[in-house]
Amino acid sequence: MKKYPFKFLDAYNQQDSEFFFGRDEETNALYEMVFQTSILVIYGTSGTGKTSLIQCGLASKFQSHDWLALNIRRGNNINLSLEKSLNDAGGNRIIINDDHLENGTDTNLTSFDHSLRAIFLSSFKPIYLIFDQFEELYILGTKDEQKIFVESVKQILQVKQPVKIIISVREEYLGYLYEFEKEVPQLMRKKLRVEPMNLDKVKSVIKSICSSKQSLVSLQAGQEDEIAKAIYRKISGDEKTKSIQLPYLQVFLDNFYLKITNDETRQTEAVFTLEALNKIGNLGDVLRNFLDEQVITTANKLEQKSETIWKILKPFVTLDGTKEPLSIEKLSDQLTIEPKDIIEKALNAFVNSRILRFTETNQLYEIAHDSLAKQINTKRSDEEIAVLEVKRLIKSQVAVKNEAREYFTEKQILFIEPYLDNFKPSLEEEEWLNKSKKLIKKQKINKYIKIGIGALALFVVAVFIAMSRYQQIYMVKAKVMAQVEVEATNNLLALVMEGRGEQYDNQDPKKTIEKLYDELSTPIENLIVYRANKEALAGTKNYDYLIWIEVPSFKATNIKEVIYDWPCKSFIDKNHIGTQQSVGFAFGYRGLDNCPKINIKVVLKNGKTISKEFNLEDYFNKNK
Amino acid sequence: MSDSTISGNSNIVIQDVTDSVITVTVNGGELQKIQNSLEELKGWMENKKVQTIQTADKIINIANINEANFGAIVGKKAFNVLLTRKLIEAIQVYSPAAKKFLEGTVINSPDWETESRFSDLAKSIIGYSFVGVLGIQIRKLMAIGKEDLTETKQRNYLENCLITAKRALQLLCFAYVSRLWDSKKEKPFTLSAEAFKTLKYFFEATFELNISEYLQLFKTLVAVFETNQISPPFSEINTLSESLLVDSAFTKACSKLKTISELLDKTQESIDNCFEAETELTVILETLSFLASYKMVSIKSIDYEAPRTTKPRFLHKYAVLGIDSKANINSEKINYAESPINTDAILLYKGRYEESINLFPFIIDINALAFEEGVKICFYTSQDLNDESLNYFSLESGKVQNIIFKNTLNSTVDINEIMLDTTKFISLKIDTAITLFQDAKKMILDLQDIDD
Repeated sequence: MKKYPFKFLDAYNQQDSEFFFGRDEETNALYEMVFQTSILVIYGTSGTGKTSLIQCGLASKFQSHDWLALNIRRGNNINLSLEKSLNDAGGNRIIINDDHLENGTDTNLTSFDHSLRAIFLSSFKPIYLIFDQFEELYILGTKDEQKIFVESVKQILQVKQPVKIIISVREEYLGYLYEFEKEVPQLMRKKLRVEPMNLDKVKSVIKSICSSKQSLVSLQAGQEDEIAKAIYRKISGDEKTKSIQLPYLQVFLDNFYLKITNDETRQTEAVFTLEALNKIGNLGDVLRNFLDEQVITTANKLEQKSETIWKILKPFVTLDGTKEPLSIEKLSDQLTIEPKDIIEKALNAFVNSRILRFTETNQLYEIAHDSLAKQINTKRSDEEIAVLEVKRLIKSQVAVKNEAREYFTEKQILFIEPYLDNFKPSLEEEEWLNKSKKLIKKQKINKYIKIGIGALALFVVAVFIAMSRYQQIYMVKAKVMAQVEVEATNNLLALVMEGRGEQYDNQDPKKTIEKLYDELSTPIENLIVYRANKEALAGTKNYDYLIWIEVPSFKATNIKEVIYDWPCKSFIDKNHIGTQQSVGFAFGYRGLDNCPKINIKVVLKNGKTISKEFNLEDYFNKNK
Repeated sequence: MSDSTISGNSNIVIQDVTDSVITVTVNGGELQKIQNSLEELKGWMENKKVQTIQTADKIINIANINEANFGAIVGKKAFNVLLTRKLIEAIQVYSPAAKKFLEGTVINSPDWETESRFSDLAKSIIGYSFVGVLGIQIRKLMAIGKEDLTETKQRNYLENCLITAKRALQLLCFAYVSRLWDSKKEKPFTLSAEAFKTLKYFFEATFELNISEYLQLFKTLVAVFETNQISPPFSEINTLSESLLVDSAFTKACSKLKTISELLDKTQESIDNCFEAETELTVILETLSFLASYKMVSIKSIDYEAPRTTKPRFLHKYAVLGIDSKANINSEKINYAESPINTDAILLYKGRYEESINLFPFIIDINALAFEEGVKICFYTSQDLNDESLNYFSLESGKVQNIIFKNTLNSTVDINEIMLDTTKFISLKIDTAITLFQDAKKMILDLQDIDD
């Protein structure tokens, strides 16, 4: 009985070997390799047919009694999927422990020793663990998940039973295997690149499939070459690419068949002719068109807007444009679509139209092929991308073990918060976000408390200094009072106050003491006097300018620096800072001109700043 | 053959089968005993007005059961039951694991072979105990035995019974031919005309010898060894020799298998032939059970180490042949020895491998010749008629592999250049295998003068 020969977006499997062509070389190479290593890697770009090569090409090389393949996809966690796969194959079967039958008992047996032995005993076939779409471990998996998996592989490679591991990965993720290879050095010793198919190969594939006696589809006799070539050109479009992705070919051939036969059951025989091919014109991007059509059809059927249907599809695609398997529950949690049954209906429609696949074993839906995922990814808006980035950020942070996990920073929280209404973080993620926010708040309060304590401490120190100064002065005063008649007392006071400003010079010691008392009890801002000087420079038009502040010497120690801000256009350097207490925090410059008004900021050591707009022009006018 | 629903009103499930009685449950409760024959079972089911009967996880329509498949379907006869029971008993002398199994694990279970938890363990012990290459073949038989009953399974099982028997005979013959080659190098003698004819046929056959022809070759070799007082490669053969070769169960089993292989060629095989083949193979392997005390290794590489102050030593890197042959980087073993060993050797030995029989080039490890990890064991089968290249049968893949002489090392090429080019080096190794095969032929058949 004839069969429909095209696979659409599904991989070829052992039952399709009569229609699997164009990969003899790779199949033979792979078949050789499995006898030369216990672990090997198959890589290639998306859509080159890696899965078909293993599930159909390689599998068909083996006789049934030499091949027990366990195909493992990551699902929600690769380690759990591996465990489930082994258990489903009989790995958790109770078997008689035969350790004692061998030379001594091996106490280091792992769970893999048991499960693989149980599987082997139930079949006596060499076991092939095939990890397809392995990049998912790095796109969706956590570091812990990766680490556990590598450990598992190391253990599996040591079991006594005949077990081999085949890893299929997209080549752009090959670099992610670096850590894995460090732990399992033979990982990349045998690897096979699956090349995209060029014109000659595609032609040969189309011709071989359609000339198979089992095929429902054939090419018009005598035009086989032209038809095959024309199909290639239709898919590659105007771009004269040297290769095409196989999903495009499959979708195109399926489309072409439906256009000729209108038979959705795909049971009618069809002959592909050049004439029919020319009639359908240039199809452009077959995958994109197919996807758009299906979304519109589904939207009409469910009486929904297309945007709603796209919303349902988009979560199945990662930010990198790869597949992300999801359960209906998880999807529903992410979407705010009412009524909820629309989601289920849309998923069923997509499964029927072969855009999505549903796996019974783990109850997950996923996009049929990465090439479709890539198309869906292009439909995302900037905001949707931002939401995904936020989701990824949260996920990656929370994925780390509790003890090693870092809190979100204030900057991250500021990035995350605006998008939190667009999706629902998991409970764990929400909890971690809240903990981070609380921590930031706490840190801020602590910071303010520290500043407060610092300021208080400074104040106490200042008071202490003032008090001790006052005490000193008081003692001086007492001394002065006590020895008022003694000239020496006056001299002593004069000596203490010498160099502390002309306001103390030649003063009555009593007044000096009173002045000192006043100054110590007056706020510093009321004590600062702003000064300036302008001196013509002989033989030039320039002046030497000098600006400084005067403040009682006992208070000057509280000042950190004085900032002179020159708001005039002609001043290139707007800010100048004076830090020398001995010169009154002065700033001097030489030039033609000065700003009429400058801003002076006196920065105190306690962080406080006293600002003053200093009118130089007025000052110079008044102090000529 | 399997139906998805049970017809009639009753659900009939086979619970136990003995030589005389089939015990069934009716609707999960009532136990009934029926005489163990197809006629009785059919009559009983007609009475009950049911068309289907369940055994293990299969539901079978009675219309699909006939005398030929009755035994297999009802579970009276399962694949490998006899083989397992007889072989584990036979190898217990050589295999401590088999001895412990029989004297410990199943001591209180006289019918242990009907319980898969015991029989699976026994099958595993047999597979791992029997000498490397035969262990691999036995594993295949056990795997086929576990598959659902189909015509493909029957055919596969028969083919593999025949292959296993043939590989066992080949192993004996190759060991004898290797020893004969070495002996003639040391002490030349002339073969009798009949022996010459048989051995020439072996070296020049363009089709693989059949079981009878291998048996004939083996008989000839044993006679040559006896006549020329050469010690046989297997000390056990001395004591077995008469019972092996003179109208014995062993020779009869070989003849019967030859007949079955003819049925297979004509696609006239039936399920009964499977059980016949199993019985005959059991006889052959029981007779050769001493092979459970032998081991096989493939010498992957040899390194030489000669520090200034100590005696030079050799590092033999080898891989053990068997079901669990690994292809990991660290799965190969190393022996630090004082003497060298043949490169690319396939060694069959008991005790220390230094006292072994080198089966190369009659058995080769393609991976060793290609500097690859893991083992790919191939048995010599025939010469190619056109170019005198050699055909080998790969045990792992079950396919024939042809190796061609390329005269890699000729007067125009520098050997150092070959050694530096992996492809050329592999080619040289294959040339060496073919040359050694021809050398063996010349030495054994005294053909030097003719060729020279």
